[in-house]
Amino acid sequence: MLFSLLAVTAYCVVSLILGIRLLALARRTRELPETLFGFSFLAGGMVGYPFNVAAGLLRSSDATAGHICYAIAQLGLAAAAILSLLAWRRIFAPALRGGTALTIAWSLLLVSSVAIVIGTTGADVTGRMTSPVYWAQLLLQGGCYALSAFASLRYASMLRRRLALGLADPIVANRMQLWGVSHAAITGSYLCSLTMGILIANGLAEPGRLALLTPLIAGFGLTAATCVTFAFLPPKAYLARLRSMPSSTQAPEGA
Amino acid sequence: MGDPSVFDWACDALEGASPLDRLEARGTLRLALRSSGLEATQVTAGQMRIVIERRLPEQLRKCGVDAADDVCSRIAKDLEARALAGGTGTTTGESPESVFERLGDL
Repeated sequence: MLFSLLAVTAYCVVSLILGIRLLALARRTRELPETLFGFSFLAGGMVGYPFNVAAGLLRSSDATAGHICYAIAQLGLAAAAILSLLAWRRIFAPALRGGTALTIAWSLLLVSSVAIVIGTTGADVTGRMTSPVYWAQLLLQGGCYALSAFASLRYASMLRRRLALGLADPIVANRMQLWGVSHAAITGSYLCSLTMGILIANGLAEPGRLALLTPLIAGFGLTAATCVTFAFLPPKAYLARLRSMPSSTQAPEGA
Repeated sequence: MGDPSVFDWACDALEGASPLDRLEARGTLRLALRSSGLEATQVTAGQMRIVIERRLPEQLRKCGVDAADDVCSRIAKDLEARALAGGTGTTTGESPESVFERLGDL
């Protein structure tokens, strides 16, 4: 429980700091990627996760308040996922044929599944976990991060190959890799919930085993928070270490 | 027609300077780019020059091309001259790399 609270607090604090700083950067540059990242951090870290914790705490004492908090949390988390999807489209797949239609359809499906889950499931966590529409929501929401993780890690791998020729900045390559790992960790947390729901629904796990999910998801959250901290607010010693790595050479003139 | 892309220009140059046919030249250059972490649609003239100088000779030797170093050196010089004269096409749009570089300015 303490570990989970620590993880949620760490993720929320990091999200608040990064969200504000990214939006401040967006104000200076007037560019879309930092705007999308900034609002995504605030929607997930300042709305989604805190309200999710509040929903859990209120569930037994005040079911109505708990459900309202749960609804707000789901809307925040869905918004964060959709903003990540938009960022993926803008940064990694601007020329993808049918990319706009895919993004719009995915977002609409996600919003619809969230609305159905909020409207049809109550305070009973087990009932929600075994509902196929909830699985669809987890897949759609986690899929946004999976796409982003795949694209970031693939591009980071390309940048690592460029490092050997002096055609990439080791810090940028590392930042992109950390971004990919953070989104892979978030994808992992969605997959855990989905797997557990399917196992319970098919009688392969006891509902009491749900408690096992909490530290696992907290671990993924802490991984994501650590990665984005090192990606966007790295300590000077970490940057110096990256610069001194063997493959880090100066980019040739004109490259 | 506008200027060819850097990749198309380099393929034509390789086809002209080596015994490789068009398909072989394009495939060899694609392999050299892939091993360097670059894509044909995004590569700049500066990046292509480095790949031609440092990765392409090895690929050409694998294809049995004699004097691979000389061939690559000649193409790289031509590319540099054309790039300086603004004669090669440039890629458009912002790369993921430049976005993540900017995100370090928090």
